[in-house]
Amino acid sequence: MTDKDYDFYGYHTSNSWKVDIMLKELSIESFNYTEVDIAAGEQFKPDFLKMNPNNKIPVLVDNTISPPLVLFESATILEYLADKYKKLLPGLDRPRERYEVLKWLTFTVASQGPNMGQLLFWKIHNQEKVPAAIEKSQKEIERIYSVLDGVLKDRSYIAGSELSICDISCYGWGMYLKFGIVVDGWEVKYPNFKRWVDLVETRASFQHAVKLADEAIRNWQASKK
Amino acid sequence: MEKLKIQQDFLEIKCKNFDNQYISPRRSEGKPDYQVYAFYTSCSLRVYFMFDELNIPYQDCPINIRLGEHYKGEFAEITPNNKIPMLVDNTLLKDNGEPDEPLRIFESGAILLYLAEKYPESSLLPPISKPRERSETTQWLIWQVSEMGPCISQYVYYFFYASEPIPFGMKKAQKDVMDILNVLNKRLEGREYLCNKYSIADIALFGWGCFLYFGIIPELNQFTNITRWMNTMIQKPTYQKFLPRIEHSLKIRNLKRLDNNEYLFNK
Repeated sequence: MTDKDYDFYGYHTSNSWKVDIMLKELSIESFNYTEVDIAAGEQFKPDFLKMNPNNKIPVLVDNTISPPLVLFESATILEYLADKYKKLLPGLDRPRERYEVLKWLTFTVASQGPNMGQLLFWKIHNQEKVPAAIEKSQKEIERIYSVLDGVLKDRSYIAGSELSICDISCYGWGMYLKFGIVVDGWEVKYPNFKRWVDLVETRASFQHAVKLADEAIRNWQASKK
Repeated sequence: MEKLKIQQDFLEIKCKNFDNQYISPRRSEGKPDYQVYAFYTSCSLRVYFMFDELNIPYQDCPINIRLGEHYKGEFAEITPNNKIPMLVDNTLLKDNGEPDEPLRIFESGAILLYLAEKYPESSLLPPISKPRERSETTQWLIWQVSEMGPCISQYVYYFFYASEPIPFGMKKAQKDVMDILNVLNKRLEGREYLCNKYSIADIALFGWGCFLYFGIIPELNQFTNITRWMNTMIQKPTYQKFLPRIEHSLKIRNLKRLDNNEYLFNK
């Protein structure tokens, strides 16, 4: 599939939605989307493993260069596109602003993401309830959102006054708070984070992602009934 | 008493071994170029390794997380995240040539990217003008900080640090670690380094790699490509310098496995 500029392999997960938002923010329309059904194990098929030996989505293939460039890890995809289009990430000539974005970007994928994964596993997906494990991951996730709430106290966006790739990355998992399964009373506990959610959701790109997430969660709930 | 002793041992390692690069916090001529707030943890070690590879002096500011120092004093005031490592770069200048505010970076992955971009002559990260090589390096760097690192730290928690054994936690951590080591082992098949050449991806990997080297995961020897990579890494002067200190820091932690009550190092 090389008739389009990009091939995007994803599924309805937080990390895929980050790429959905990014493509919309950059007004990239020339891409093929292929759903990789990770619930059915399609990420272990040899053709997919050739692209990402780590058997994870999202994967983005850039067909505008030859040979096509295959990218995995959502943060790498966001950084690559931002540097390529010189948007949503300040350049090397502005190291302070650039690294304000990159450190929070790394925080979202190294702290927020893995801990959200742990929390949902122990709280929701795992049949056997293990109180000590739930408590450990709940405590860490509440710490992480209070860190985000703290940094948003005196700025509109996570890295400052402008929207950047760390906002996009944070929203992938951040929107789960709205679905009521992460932290009870989060709007009151994290008022600055709530204000940030409201702010980014004024953008069509984020609205698109939350619509995809809503659908996915409704389907998942229906499948459990 | 016990806690005090650990800190003393820790400082002793620092003073004894950092002689090349350790600059006294009390040096008189103002701020050092770089300050590294760190401890002997996988993520901190990445930053120590990086500075050693770049051969740049820095002020080492040990933050003993076992004593909760990451929630105290000067460090607590300058970090929004209470996590080590944190790098403070005091070298930035304003447009008029006056010293600018210090730049503070946390997240080991971001610190390595920053230093590699600041010192391109180190060739530890391909430049933006080589997107193919560069993104290959950044994706394996990000893979470690977002997948492998969190996975091994879960393992270490459930196998060494939990206040009591949590069997299901151990079972999940064990499976996750085997999966992730399989991915890494496959990646290293036929490759000397994670990417085309030695890079920040390898430096980051050795942050956990050094603990694997000291046997925190007994099954490691099944993964022959990883052990071969490790043998390549430990030949390098940087890691030669650090390994004895890491071993010492592990020994004074007196780690005991929760699955079989065996000590990591024979008592």
